[in-house]
Amino acid sequence: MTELPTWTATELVWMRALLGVAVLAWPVVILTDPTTPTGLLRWAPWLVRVRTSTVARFGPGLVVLFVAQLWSPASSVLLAIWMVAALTVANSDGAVNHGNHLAVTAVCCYAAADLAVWMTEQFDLGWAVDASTGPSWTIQATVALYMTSGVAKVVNSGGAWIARGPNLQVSIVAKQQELGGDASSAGFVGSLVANRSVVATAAMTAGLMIELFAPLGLVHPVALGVVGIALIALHVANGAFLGLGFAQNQWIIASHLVVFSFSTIL
Amino acid sequence: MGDNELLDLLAIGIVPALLCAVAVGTAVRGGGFRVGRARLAGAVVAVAMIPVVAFGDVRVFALFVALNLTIGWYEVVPFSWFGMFSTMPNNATAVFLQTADGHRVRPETLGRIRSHELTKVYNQARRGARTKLPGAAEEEIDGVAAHFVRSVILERRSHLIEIPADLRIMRSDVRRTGRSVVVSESVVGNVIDS
Repeated sequence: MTELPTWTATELVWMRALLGVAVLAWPVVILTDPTTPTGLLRWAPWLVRVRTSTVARFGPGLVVLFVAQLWSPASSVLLAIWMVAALTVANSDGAVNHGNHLAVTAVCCYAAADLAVWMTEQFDLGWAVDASTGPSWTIQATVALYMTSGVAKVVNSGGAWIARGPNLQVSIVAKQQELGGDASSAGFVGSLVANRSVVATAAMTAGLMIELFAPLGLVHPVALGVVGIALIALHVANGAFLGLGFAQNQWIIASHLVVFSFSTIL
Repeated sequence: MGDNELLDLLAIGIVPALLCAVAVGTAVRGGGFRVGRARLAGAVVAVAMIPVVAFGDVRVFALFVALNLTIGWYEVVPFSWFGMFSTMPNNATAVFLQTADGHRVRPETLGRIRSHELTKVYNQARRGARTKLPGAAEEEIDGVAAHFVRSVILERRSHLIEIPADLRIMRSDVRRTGRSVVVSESVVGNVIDS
């Protein structure tokens, strides 16, 4: 029923390297002091006293070790812990910024897979894990994340997400006004959506469908590539309309769901 | 089709299809359903993932969905850093309109605000006029809350209507329901009429 791509050793190296690039290119940014602790900080508020700048210096080094697979799985696990801690602090200022979530998720998957591979080799556990486990788990977690986002939209809106198409129009206009323009500043498609509620409702429907049916990418490598392209298109549209491009997510989706999915069938 | 394949089909096909049907059906029918009932639906999805985690082929996928919909969702348990796996607006809330009968909530959201802002508005609305606007009526909520509510309406409706500078928002116009601030229809009604 489900079939993920099979990758060559070179492709696996590339995927890991591209994830490392994503982590470095769009780093976790801590803008303010944590005033509303979430997650780890609720249990260990003393973590706040650790100087962020001091911790931040370790990030790039850990990424290099992670990509080069030196001292694995320790380097992978440490990078995952570092990113979770950094994002926890960043999201403890009273709001949750969804940037970097996918990158942390991917690094956590790679770290867990590296650890599983190492444990299997060390203790002869017989687990069915290998070098492709990290990307495989990352892909599963990615489509799960987007499906959950779709579920949240349905649930938090009381089932009425699609009926809220006009909200998209309002958001587009508000964003463009914030940037000093008006609906026409959102480009041809953006202004079309902003001025036609039917088009806005269709866009909301399409976006929801793309997210909810993201798991269908697990059925076949070609389906995975199609789902990846659809998710990137969703982000591109959100970036054009609302200024929410999630470039890091696009990068990770392109490298893990699209490029090497089609390459395996060519 | 083996048992594993049935479980995978449930996780990646049937559950999304059912949710799509709910969303489309609600849009066609109009209205919506209560947030509590909606969250129950989300919990059912999470529970449906448990056998997939145990026996399916897409265990990691099912595990992440279940975590996102439970630990990462409500942000009520200490391990809420799993919330980072979710793209849900954890500490955002919605401002709704309420119709005259006091029960039905209109489907359109006016805006999203953070929970501490919500608390501020609600508390100020309950306390009533402590720092009234000049010439404000006895029941008018204080300036900050009135400004905030007006700002939300302005932000969300600026291209549709013109907000009069002397708009008055009364304490009875604002109340809290769960994670939502409900603004009486009469407030926006006044704006639209102007």
